[in-house]
Amino acid sequence: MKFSYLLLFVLFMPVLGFAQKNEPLKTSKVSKKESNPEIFIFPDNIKFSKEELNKRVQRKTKALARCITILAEKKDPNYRSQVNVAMKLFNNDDRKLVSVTSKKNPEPVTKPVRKYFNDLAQLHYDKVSITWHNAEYVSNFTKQPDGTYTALVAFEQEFTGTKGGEINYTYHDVTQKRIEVTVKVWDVKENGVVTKEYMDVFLGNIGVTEE
Amino acid sequence: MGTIKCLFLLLIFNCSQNIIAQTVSTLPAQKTNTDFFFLYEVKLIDEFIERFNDDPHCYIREQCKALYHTDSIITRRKLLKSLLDKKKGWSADTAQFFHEVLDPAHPGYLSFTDSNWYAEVRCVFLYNNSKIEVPLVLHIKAAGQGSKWMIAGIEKSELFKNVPVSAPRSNDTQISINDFIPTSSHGTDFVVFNYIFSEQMQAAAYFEPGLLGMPRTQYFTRLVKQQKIKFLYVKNIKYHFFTLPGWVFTVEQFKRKETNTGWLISSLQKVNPTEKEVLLKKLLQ
Repeated sequence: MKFSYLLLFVLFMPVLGFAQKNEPLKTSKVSKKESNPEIFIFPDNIKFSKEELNKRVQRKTKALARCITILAEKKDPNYRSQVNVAMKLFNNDDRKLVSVTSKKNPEPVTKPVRKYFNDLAQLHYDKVSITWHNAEYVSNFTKQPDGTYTALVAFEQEFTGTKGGEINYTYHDVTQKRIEVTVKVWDVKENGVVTKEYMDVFLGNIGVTEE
Repeated sequence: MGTIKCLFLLLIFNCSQNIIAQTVSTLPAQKTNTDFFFLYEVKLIDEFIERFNDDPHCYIREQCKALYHTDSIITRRKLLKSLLDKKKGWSADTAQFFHEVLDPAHPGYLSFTDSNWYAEVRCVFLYNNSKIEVPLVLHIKAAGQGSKWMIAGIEKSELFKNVPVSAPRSNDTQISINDFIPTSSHGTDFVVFNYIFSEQMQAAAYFEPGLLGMPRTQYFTRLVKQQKIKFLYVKNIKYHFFTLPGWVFTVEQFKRKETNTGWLISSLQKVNPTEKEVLLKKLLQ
């Protein structure tokens, strides 16, 4: 039994170490700062690896690209239901913003994400293609005062929208997107007892720069 | 992808910029160029810190591993060199800086959650139907269980030319756990200011207590709450690192179609503790 406790202690010692990493750090030239903790510990001791979080971030950014494609091609007057689907990626937070800087307009144009989606739905392209040029960059996650973790994801995308028929128009751009992401954990309680624990990654404010 | 591999190797093996530039110019498609530069671009200050520290999981190492199944050709010295703006002439001090940072006995590292590096953010506001610049200085501060960006300084601006020496003080001391500037805000050029600088702003949640009491801050927060100034956008960001003993350096964004692109060191100063303190005071005004 004693041996089991010793084994557990040895196994969890690194985890205890990781839990300390978001404490205020002293300025020291000697010790290497741990800038890339591999394990993130949420309230109630729920743990996730950075690799797992990165995968979830990538799933969300791909889902966002799918939503943008559908909305920009959509001719359905009920497009608002698709906007609602897209807003779920942002935890239905209507405060989240998109800021776009283009070659024509170096001064950023900022609008709420929901308006950005609604505007996309007015484009009515016949065909839209969105391609990634490289692997996404996902920064390290940092714990926030409210217990959530945030990070940034940066990637390059190529957007091509075509309209056929008499218009015969093609719009094409290559943009770099930077998106704030937040990891949240919450419990589902039944009769005061926690029955399930959920973790999800939500997208946040977006910065778009035309290349 | 094969072309990218070759170019990647060229840089890793530290070939001259000229060779790289010539090779890049022979590439057939612009798309390929774009692919290539993104790999090398220091995309965010977070990536700058990862490269500076030679983080084993930094993006460029991961991409190298994905392409060649090894990243052993990358060294910390090469990564550090890639963080300098190569268009600038660097003095002997730079060699000494490298020597000290790479000293095996006492290597120098940066940490995102340290509070002694600063973002100098030139914000543009609308005031009396005119655009006016207000430079804010922010740093990372430990708060509760985590960290947040906090405004530590407000630099000189036309906005403050008629500020009374002692502006009336507000009793704004309330801080809600949900009112904070997330540590990821810099990545979207602090677009978060659009909803922070509002009528309901809880200034104590965003301004350092020492700064909050100053007439300039009182005046600024009053204008924000009365909606007499409206945040428009961030024009420019510079990062100043006071982290390493004996040194102060500035990191700026360089947008160019080269391998030496993104957030790079634009100036490096060798300083004694007194000089460092003076520079910090000047930054925080």
